[in-house]
Amino acid sequence: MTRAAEGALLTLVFTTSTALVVVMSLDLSPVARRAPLLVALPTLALLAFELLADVSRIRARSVIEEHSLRVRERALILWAGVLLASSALLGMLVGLPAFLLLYLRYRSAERWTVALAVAAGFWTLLYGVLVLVLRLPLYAGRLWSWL
Amino acid sequence: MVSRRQALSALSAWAGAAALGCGEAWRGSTTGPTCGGLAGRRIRWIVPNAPGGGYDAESRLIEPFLEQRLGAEIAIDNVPGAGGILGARAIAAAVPDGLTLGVVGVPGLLVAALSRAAGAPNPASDLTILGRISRSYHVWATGRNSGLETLDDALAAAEVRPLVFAINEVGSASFVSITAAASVLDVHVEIVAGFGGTRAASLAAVRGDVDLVGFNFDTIVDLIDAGELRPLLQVSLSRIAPHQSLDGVAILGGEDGWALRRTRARGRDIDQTRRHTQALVDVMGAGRVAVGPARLDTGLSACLSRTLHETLTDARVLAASSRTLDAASARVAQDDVQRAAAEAPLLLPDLEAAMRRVRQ
Amino acid sequence: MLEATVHGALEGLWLVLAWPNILYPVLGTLLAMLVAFVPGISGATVMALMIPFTLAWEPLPVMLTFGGLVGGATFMGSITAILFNVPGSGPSAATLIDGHPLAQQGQARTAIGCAAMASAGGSTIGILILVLLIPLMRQAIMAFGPPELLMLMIWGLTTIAVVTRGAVARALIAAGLGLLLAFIGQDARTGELRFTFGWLYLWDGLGLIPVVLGLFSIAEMADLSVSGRLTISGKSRVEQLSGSVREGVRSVFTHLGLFVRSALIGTAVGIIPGVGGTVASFLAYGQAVQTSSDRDRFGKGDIRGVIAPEAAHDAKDGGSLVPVLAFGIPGSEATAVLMAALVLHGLVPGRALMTDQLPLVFVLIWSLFLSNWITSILGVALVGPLARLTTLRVQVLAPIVFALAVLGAFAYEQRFEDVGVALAFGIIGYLMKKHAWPRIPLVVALLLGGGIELNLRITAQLHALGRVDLWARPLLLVLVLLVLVNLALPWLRANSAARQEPAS
Repeated sequence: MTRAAEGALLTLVFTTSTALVVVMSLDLSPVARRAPLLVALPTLALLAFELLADVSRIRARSVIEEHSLRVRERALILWAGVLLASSALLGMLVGLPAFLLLYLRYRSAERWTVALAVAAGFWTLLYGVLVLVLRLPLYAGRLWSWL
Repeated sequence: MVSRRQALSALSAWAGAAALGCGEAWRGSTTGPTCGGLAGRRIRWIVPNAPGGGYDAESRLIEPFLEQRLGAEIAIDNVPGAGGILGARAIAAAVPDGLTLGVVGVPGLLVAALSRAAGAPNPASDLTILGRISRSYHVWATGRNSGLETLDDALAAAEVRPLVFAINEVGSASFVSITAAASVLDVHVEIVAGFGGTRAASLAAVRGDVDLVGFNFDTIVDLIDAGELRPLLQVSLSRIAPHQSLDGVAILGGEDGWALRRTRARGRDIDQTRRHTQALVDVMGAGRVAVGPARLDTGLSACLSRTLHETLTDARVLAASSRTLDAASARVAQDDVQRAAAEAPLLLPDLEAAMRRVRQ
Repeated sequence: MLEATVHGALEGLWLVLAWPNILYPVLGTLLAMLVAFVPGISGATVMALMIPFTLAWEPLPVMLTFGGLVGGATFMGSITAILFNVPGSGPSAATLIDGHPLAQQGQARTAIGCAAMASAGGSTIGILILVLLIPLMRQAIMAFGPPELLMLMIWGLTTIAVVTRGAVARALIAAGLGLLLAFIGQDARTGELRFTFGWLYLWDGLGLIPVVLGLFSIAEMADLSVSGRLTISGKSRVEQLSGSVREGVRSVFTHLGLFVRSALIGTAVGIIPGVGGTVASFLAYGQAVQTSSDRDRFGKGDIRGVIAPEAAHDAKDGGSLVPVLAFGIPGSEATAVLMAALVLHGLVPGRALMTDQLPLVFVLIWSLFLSNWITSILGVALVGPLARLTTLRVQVLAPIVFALAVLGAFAYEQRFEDVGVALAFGIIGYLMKKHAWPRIPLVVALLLGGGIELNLRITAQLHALGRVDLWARPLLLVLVLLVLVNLALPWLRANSAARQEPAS
């Protein structure tokens, strides 16, 4: 996918979302839908122009996105998924340090000692400040409740 | 000046908090019943609003005393949002093992449950009532420069134009109270919603942008004391509090109350007015209750209720609280909630009509 | 009244500085600073947690401590905003616009030094105005009703036009999207749920902090990570960093007019209940851009973009005590908790407190003042090790920032859904940056959209009911004028530049 095409896709997502707002507003009472429609309709009009401009850019510039950039982006999205999954399943206290450990070791290619030290330091911050001192309830994680 | 001894004791509390974790300084020795093995455990106490709100302040007030009696650590967990529904749902969905408790406001939750607001638990059936912490009846109050000295003046003004109220949001306890009270008084009101809280709405009345506000007496008593607001009506069956600002202030309910007085004068259905007024007062008076999930073990529930009631009637708690809590045992609170839940549907038609009006 | 005020102020100062009283605000400040380093944990949270500890205390140590807590939290969030693009709280989001680019240019020390001076100085001005307003508190608050709030927020929205240059259409679209995001949730006027898809989580709308953490913190760090940049500052050794604390501190005095204006804006916004520090910071930032003749560097590391929000953010603390002390109306989340603490100790905010307990009130004020300066001084003292963090490799720092952002999103309201929101907006923010979509208009519109709609409705309803006469409100007219000037200024400047060109 070219960069221009990706840009057009983003504009399309914005356009679709705004159109969805317009459609959903019609189910609301007149008072409740007034402000959303007042904002969404002009925004939709502007988005239509932007979309046209983006489409013409696709035609004008056909530079394919640099492959290594794509690879790095996809890797980052994957790691975002790992972060979400680890904190959802293992909770903040375990999941976040676990994420740090894995990321530093396998993505950043750091030594085990560095990865462990950072993860341990983060855990200490979480436990020491948030749990011990503030007694803030941290998200416990789904896995422990299933087990 | 703070004495050296006080300072040292406070400093040691600081150090204790930092090094050992909060609550150690308060726990002291374990006294009272262990309530089915809760001693040494951590109880999650859910508060359905952000830190600083009324529920939060009351919970933090009783927290150290409850910890002492239960021998357990209480971790206050603020779960704000959706007018208290998120917090109530979190309690209702928890495992009924005594390790998740909390506080809910019955009036708002009842109305939300009855109007089928998404997932709002019904306090009468979806939660175990452990006891009432506090309650406060609503009053109608006007700004000091409004020109309205008594309820009579307000009702007379309402013959010419609607009485304008300020509230925070439609569907709130305030909305319910004003709408229902206006219905039994047969007075035309306009509700302006969207103010950012009780105080902001009260300020609108002080400023004269609106005629009246209808809020918990306890929440606005300081503005009344300061002379900024003047109470015109007590939404109750009898005098709300022995507070001098309520001397001679009209009372909505009761045989001599203004609801029946207006109904008789206008030839409307007296029984209906009586029932609706009772329903309104019962719903508003159900108060803030401590709850656990439904299907809590009977023995555990009884123990927790007993401990909570002892805490709430503890002289130290009463001394530390700057306002009357009006605690009640689990049995009394359960009866109040059941009665309120049974009568609340009477208020629905008026509420739905009011909602339809604001949506035009 | 003046004599009572002076007497109260002096007695309050004496009480604060006396031993061992001084320990309370110092310890309160240190605790707030430590905690505020974690994004999403606000000063209000710390204060709420302190309430049970203080139940048995006398009113004096309560005032001493809570003054320290209020002041201690504000500055630390700015440090994380500057270093990592992670705002510690909503108001710090405006600081990161220019603060983080400065760190990326190796000038973290300058940025932090500037922020420290602007914070401390701004809070001083806020407190000074608070004290001067004591006899006029009531009138000050009564002057701001829904019509005035509406115009103030519209003024804030017009700063979008000022802040973004170039792609006006995209800025307007981003603002429109921000407004639509602001409409998510329960409509206060009708009780209807809008655009929530039946999801209870969205009942109260999208939280600002998770969105900002995603759009800025996660997105920027993702961008840095993907771009292959070695460190935040582009330098690998501390010795290679440029700038200094002294330079940063001096910059505040170099731009003294801007600093004072921003502090005044922050104080004024603080006085208005329910508006908050985030609005103050963005308003101040907007006016900084608006009133500058050379605006090209804003958003790319202009020191004025740090001075303005920092001065406003801390000046707001003093201003936000006005509605609390005068009427018991919290001007912010922190003052809401402060009020709860005061009430629990039998100190009812309002006229009684102001007349019978004035020395105690000044204990609170002096503690706040002391706390703000302690925070700034300590922040400056830590500049060395803090600036060093910008020489750490991005590949080591990035996961830490991601983890902090996730933690901050959760800590905001203890809802895991906020984590999902932050990550989703992180992806959106990355793509927006990549494809030259401005993000600030979206954030400003999200921040102000709900309030604009509500106050517009209230104003319209009150006007229809004959309750307000818009022409009889002088402050409203002043604000309308400001908005018109804000909108006209860019056009006037462009015209003026065009006329000068042929002449030259």
